[in-house]
Amino acid sequence: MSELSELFDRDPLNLSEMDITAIVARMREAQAQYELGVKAPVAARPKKSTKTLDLLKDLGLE
Amino acid sequence: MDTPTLSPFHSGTRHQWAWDSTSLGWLKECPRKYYYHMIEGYRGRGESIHLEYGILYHEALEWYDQLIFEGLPHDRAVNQVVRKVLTGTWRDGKPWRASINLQTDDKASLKSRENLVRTVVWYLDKFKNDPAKTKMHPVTGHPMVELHFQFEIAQGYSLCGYLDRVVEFQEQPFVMDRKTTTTTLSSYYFDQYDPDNQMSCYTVASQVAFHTTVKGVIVDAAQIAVGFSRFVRSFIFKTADQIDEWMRDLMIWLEMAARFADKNYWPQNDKSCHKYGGCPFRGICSKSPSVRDRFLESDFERRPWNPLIPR
Repeated sequence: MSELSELFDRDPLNLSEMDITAIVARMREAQAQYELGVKAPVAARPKKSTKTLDLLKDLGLE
Repeated sequence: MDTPTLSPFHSGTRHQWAWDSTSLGWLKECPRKYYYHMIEGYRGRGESIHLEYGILYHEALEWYDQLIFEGLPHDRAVNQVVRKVLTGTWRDGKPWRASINLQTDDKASLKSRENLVRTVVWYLDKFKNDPAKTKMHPVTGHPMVELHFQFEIAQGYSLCGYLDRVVEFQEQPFVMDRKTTTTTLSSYYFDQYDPDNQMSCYTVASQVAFHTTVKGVIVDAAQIAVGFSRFVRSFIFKTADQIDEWMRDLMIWLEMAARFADKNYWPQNDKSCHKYGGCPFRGICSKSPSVRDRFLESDFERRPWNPLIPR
């Protein structure tokens, strides 16, 4: 598959239907990647476990 | 033989009779800005990128609407639109690079050919099953996209311009206006359109020129950024009372424009210079009047704006 920049630098009259489909596909890949990045699940902040709390209480620190 | 271009000014005068939201907006912002842009025809060199980019973006989306109307499936229509964008941005045997002379930190440089194709594809995919459906023209039966309007309001004045699209959203008619910007799409961005001269003008135009009473305008904004394009839709509602008020005010603005033309003098509104992203003529107005013309000639180009010329 041709590089995207190479396709953009080519005279559009010389672009085949496959080339156009390739450009559109690259744009959609970029969109999917962007949306993955934007919507990536945020890792939950670790909570103190009950055990830790108990331990802290036992040590008189809580 | 070419048809002579109609002038928006009365013959041999600086009295404008054909007004669009752009020229009216200049007048409302600052009479001097109106004078430089509309009477003298000056345009900042950087301004042309935004204008051309907007036209290319609108043309692409309009072409898509037409293809869908003709029954083409989404993917084939997208391919055809991309080909049209690439062809339309191929100039003198090379790709369009309007932003080549800009500073790298100038956000207008984001308005590139590659980002245009990306923005069009992402937009069309996002709104593939758009709940806002293009309305059909009540007389021609054609989709109501890229509609030119021109109608007389009063005292020989006309309002003219283009509506991007008239749509039906949740069974309510709206004008849809598509915008491209490099700024973040926050509520701050959309606040600039309510109230706004252009939105009121479009609401009036839809009612008078196309006999379609709309609820207001949907602003469909596309943010062009490094590595992504983002789209946000916002609604601006207009009541009949608000439109009446806008029309009343319009006539007063037009009387003021006539007074300026009579006096052949357009005063500065020096409280406007830093608003609206900063007036392109700030640097001119801050200089002594005796040297302004020299700076105008070197920093600006003459490309008169004519509301009567179709896009």
